[in-house]
This record gives sequence, C-alpha cells and structure tokens, in this order.
Amino acid sequence: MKTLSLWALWLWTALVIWAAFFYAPPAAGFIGYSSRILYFHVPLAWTAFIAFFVAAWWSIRYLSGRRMEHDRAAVSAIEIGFVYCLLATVTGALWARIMWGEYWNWDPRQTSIILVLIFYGAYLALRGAVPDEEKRARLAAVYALIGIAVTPFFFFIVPRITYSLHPDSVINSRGKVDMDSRMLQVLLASFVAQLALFFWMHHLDRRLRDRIARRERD
Amino acid sequence: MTTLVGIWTNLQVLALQAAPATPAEPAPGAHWAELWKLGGMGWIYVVNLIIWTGLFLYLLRLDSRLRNLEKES
Repeated sequence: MKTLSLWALWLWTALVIWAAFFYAPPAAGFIGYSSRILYFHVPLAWTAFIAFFVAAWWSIRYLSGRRMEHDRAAVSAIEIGFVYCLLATVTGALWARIMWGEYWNWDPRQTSIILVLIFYGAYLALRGAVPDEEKRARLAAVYALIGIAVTPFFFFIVPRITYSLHPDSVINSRGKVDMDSRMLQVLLASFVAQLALFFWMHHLDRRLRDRIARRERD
Repeated sequence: MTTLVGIWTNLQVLALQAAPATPAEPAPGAHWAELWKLGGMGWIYVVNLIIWTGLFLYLLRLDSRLRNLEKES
C-alpha cells in the first residue's frame, strides 16, 4: 500500500512537472520560461504556511495535555516548513534574477519571507538554548502560537498593503482569482503534490522522533 | 496579382491572430543554448527536478531510517 502511494505521488508529481511546462499557457509579461517557476515556488510557500499552522496546532495540543510527543510533532512540522520556506525563497530569488536582473532586491515580498525565516530560525535557536526539556517544550509551544499571528501577516497582509514589483497573488487584492483556468489547475495540482509530500514527511518524521525518544528513555 | 497580394495579406493577418499573446517564450525547436540560458526551459526544468528529487529523497531517507529503527526494536 505504501509503495503504491509512493508511486501514485511520484506519478502525480511527474504529471505536474509536465503540465507546468507543456499544458499551462505562457503567462503575459514574463521573460522566457520564468512563469513556469511559479508553479513550484507558490505551492512551496503555501505549504510552508500550512506547516507552520500544523506546528501551532501541535503546540496547542502540547499546552493542553503536556505530552512530549506533541512537542516533537511541532518541531518536526516547523523544521520541514522551514525547508519549504527556504526553497520558496530560493526559487523566488531565481525568478527575481530572470525578471528583475538581481537575485535580491528587498522587495516587500522578499523582505517578508526573510522575516518569516528569521522568526522560525529563532524558534529553532530557542529550542537549542534551553536545556530543560519541559521548559523548552513550553516556551517553544508559546512561540509557535505567536507564529499564527506573525505568519499570515507576512505572507498575506504585507504584500497587499505595500507597493511591490511582485506579481499579484493568486487571490488578488480585489479578492478575485484573476488567472487562466489551465494555470490555476496546474498550480493547485502542484500544491496538492507538495502538501501530500509534506504531510507524509511530517508523519514519518514524527514517528521517527517518537521512536528515538523511546529508545533513549529505555 | 492583386488577388495574390490579397491572399498573402489575409494569411499574414490570420497568422498574427493565431500567434500566442506573449511571444517571449522561444519556439519549441529553439537553439540548444537558448534552452540552457538563464530563464530558458532546460534551466528551469533542472531547478524544479532538483527540488522535487531532493524532497522525495528526504522522504525515502526518513522511511528507511524509521524501518531500520523498527527492525532494531
């Protein structure tokens, strides 16, 4: 069953890559094939956002039940989300190099994603700085909950209240999806693949951390 | 002759109408170098493949580590 799911996900991903290059029409106003990056860059950023919310969910569960496996689940979600956020930043910088001539321009979008990375980088640093397990878990859980307010602000509000060279969001400032239907299909299909990959990795990582913790305790 | 010019003009108009709205992307048969330059199809394709492959390899690594731990215990 697991092998079948892995093949299904791999096949879906292959289909998404094919569709991004050969099914979706070229976007107006983009240089070369740069618009094709967005079918991967945007879902990576969305998945990072979901991962940080999943971490907040585990943190709430930790604070209400004080069970260490919930703390381990939260850190797992944040670590994977951090990687997704980093990949979104890198793909965004590559796109900026093609479109704007520079990898980094301190555009509000670029600045806000860097602030999100710093915020969650600080979460990981905080965990490394507190030796007491209970205290670390408690502080980290509260910090991850603050992330619920920080992440949407930087992901969704800053780009809408500032002037940016970045293309309009999928749901634009007028609250409408102004995009070709084939482009939207590929974008959503890519998001489904990234999300499935994230939840699978998170599930395995959580189980792995629990196993290691159990082995260390015994 | 006038008819030929008329047909030619009509064909040009039809070709222009059939052309994609954004001519920025090179044609499928573009030169090899065009594919691999910054923003070319090959270049972006490779970046995407690296990302997807990396994520899948990480998934497989997690799976194999978990299986090894489960076997040990």
